Amino acid sequence: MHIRIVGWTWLVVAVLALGVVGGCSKQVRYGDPKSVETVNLDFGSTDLQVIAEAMTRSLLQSPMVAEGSRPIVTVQDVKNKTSEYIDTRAITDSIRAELLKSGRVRFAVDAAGMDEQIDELERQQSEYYDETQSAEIGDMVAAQYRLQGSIISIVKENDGIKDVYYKFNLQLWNVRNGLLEWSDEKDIRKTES
Amino acid sequence: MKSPVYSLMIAAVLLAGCKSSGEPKPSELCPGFEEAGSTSKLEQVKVRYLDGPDVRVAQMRCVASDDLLRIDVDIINERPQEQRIAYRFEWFESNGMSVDNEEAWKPLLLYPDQVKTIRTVSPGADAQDFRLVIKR
Repeated sequence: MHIRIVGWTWLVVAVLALGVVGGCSKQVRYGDPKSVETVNLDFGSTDLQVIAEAMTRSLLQSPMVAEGSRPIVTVQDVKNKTSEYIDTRAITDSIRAELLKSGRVRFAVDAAGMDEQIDELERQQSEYYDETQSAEIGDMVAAQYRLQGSIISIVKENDGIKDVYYKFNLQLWNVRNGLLEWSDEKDIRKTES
Repeated sequence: MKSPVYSLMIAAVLLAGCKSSGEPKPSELCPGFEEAGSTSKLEQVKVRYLDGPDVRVAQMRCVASDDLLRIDVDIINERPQEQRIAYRFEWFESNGMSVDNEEAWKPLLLYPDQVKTIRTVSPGADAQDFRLVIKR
């Protein structure tokens, strides 16, 4: 009799435990990748997307791009001068992708991709390739303009209120004569209280 | 003596009036204006509201420049308090196909009763038409 009561007690405890664990399990859902993200104050997906879009649309209206000669541009670093880790390459990649879609800008291989480009060119010089179809060394097209930029942040905190101000600056430099042909900024303020 | 001068002035004013009335208003340059027929109907066609934001589009201006469409939209906060909304533009080709360029929702803070102008330019020459979506 005593054994039966103990057995029932364990069964009830197990069922309750399963119910609690089931109730606490986290639900996974797909979301809108373009929605406004306010999980915390850190640099987030909305900041990246808004900056990339603002810079792209501004650059499309710049005289060098608008005149329709499809200038050749190379992407250089965006310096992260904030106190947090930001993959600035993700921002320039988005800008480059949107500009390419516009069909108004061409991109030359940048410093980050140069090793892979040279490796491939050299590989095609080997005896395994048809000479008539191999890319020749010395035909690469140099960029007329280079894109570079920076992102800074100002962070202030007082009485439980935290304020972050980001400023992203992008510049288009003429490689031949060193002139700054275009520049624009996008700023973002986020407050947590 | 003065009557010819007055006549000339009146004629000049009338001519100036005729000249300005001949130029289309910026809202009339927006794609779809001819079908809509009026500025208010154009806004009904071009603007979608999600989740009932307490805002209203007061005016819409469009200018074609270098194969791109530049757009200004004046949004009025109809609340006497601050309001946070998000907006984005959706782009379409001339045949109605959507352009492969889904914009991010852009957060916007509106002060009480503020009229805020949001500006954009089309992402490329293939984007000939647009729709503005505003959500709370």
